[in-house]
Amino acid sequence: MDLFANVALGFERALSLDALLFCFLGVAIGTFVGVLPGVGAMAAVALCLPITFYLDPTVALIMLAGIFYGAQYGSSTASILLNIPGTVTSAVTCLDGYPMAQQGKAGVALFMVTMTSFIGGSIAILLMMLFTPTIAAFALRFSSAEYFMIMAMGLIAAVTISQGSTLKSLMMVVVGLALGTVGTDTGSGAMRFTFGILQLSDGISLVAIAMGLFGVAEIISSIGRDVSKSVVAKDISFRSMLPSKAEIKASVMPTLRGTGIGAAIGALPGAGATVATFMAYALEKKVAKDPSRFGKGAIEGIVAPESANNAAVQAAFIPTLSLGIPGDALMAFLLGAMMIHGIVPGPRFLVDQPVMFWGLVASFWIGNVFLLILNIPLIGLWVRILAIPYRFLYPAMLFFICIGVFAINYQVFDVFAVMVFGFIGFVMTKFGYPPAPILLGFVLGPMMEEHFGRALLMSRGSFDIFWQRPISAVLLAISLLLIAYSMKGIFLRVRSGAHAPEEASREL
Amino acid sequence: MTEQSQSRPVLNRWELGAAAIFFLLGLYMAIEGSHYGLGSITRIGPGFFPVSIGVLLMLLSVGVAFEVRHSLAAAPKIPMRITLVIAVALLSFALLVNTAGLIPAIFAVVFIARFAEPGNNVVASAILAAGLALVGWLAFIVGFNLPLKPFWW
Repeated sequence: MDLFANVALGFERALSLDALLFCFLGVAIGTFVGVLPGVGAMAAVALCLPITFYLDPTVALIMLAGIFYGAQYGSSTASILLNIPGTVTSAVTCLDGYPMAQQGKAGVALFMVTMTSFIGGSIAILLMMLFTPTIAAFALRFSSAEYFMIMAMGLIAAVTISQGSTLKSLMMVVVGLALGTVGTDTGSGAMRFTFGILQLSDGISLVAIAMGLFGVAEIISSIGRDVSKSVVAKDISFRSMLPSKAEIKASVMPTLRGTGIGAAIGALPGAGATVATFMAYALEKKVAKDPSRFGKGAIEGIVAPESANNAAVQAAFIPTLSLGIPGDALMAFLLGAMMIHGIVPGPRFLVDQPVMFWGLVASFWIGNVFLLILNIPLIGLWVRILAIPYRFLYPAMLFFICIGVFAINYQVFDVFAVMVFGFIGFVMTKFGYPPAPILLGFVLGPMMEEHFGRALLMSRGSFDIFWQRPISAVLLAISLLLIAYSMKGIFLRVRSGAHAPEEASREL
Repeated sequence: MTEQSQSRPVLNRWELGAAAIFFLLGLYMAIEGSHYGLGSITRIGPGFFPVSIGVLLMLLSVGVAFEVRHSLAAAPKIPMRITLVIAVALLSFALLVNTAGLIPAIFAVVFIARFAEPGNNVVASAILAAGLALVGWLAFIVGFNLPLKPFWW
């Protein structure tokens, strides 16, 4: 079968020495930043991006992707041991993970989340191998009308599914689109919103926006907030990690259910891994015979969300690689990184770059095996890393951000930009405006404009093209349904005009 | 809560102000964008998308303004010391990296950033800054050959 030949091709690439080395480096860095609360995968990718310019693009992609899924493994460690999520995707894991650690079962909890992460990730990779080529082949028939609609749908889905004010999220998407128009217009070559600043003619740097809104803003709001807590279990022996038969048995179904939810949510454009973890946890609570055990150290409460977030992160590569449409802000960032490398995302990616695609998929398997090794025998190392106080951490992060932002274009201007976006990001989250939709809008905006223009050119200026082509019509219908679905919530909020103060989450 | 305060809640000036900023941003985009040329509907010009975005932004900001008009959110507390120190740290990196070189720039950003928290040990800051500068030099200049100069000479 064709699939096997392709997989073999991929493994041949992924098993070469440079790919193995950078895959390992990627997942190790990912675990490291995942373990540390307040240091996200995005900052790590931004830091590594300039380094990867000097690598083969396939190897570069393998390494950057490794940081993303590696972070999912690491993030549960802090949740379990400190009751602080390493990244937001492990926030739910705190609920039952920390009680387990207090009961002296930290080892079992860490072992089980690593195993279920591996299982969730592996199943999602399988799905990815099956579905990505199919979707990409289907998408080769898409015209600009479909492209425009699918991107619009993705943005609308991301906004309507997110928590908090839908209107504010929607506005942030539009702000992202607005930022995306800065620079030279690809169609006409006209300079837009550059204010005569030469550095803006290439547009605003994606890395500067992302690092400002997420990295610098996070640092400003975290300094002074004392997050250091004593680690419950300093030394975890291999013996203490082995789960009992009953614990394994209790974990099988939740893992599979979590994987299912994670893979389904992750593959949708617009919904990220965080939503998947909350849904997986809620489902386990619903199907449990005794829901009162949850929050007191129920093993189902950690294995389901952890399998879900790993499955979601792997499945998120399906729309990203088959359509060139990112599912969440993290994928948008990775997509941006691909474009900086000169890789054109979209359905032709698979046809034009089979070695790169299948090499990447193969590296996911290899990376997950590395992660298993990194997270079970070496767990003690990561636990020690947790003891690093924030007062040493944040200056180092600031240095990473500076290098990551500067070394993309070697422009001092980008460092100023990151400062400005950091301040804006800090203030806007205080007012309940979430930053993640900005990133999505920013990456998708220029593509949407291009496809919108092309679609109208094709139809000779008639908007009918968006509902006369069947696929485009379906996408339009889904978008309208999503809007209709959120209308009631918007209406209620607008009518009351009052709500409790809420800070938007910096989640991705 | 009295009857009156329930029937006439106060307008939240901060939230409305934030919405107004987005309205003005939209207005600016629409006006400035229209100078770029809207083109025709068959062949949209470079101004078409910015103007659409500007109009959308204005509409949404009006919606948001209605939504938040009686919000209970207070003015955000901006930690002046932290914001200022972080800004100075980033600025010093920006100003030093091309003139003085990578090592002084890293040293400056790390050393200055440590002042964001009161009571951080200055000697520890210097050691941390020197250590990270060394790491930065080893990783990016020696290891990956990024075209950056370590010092000004």
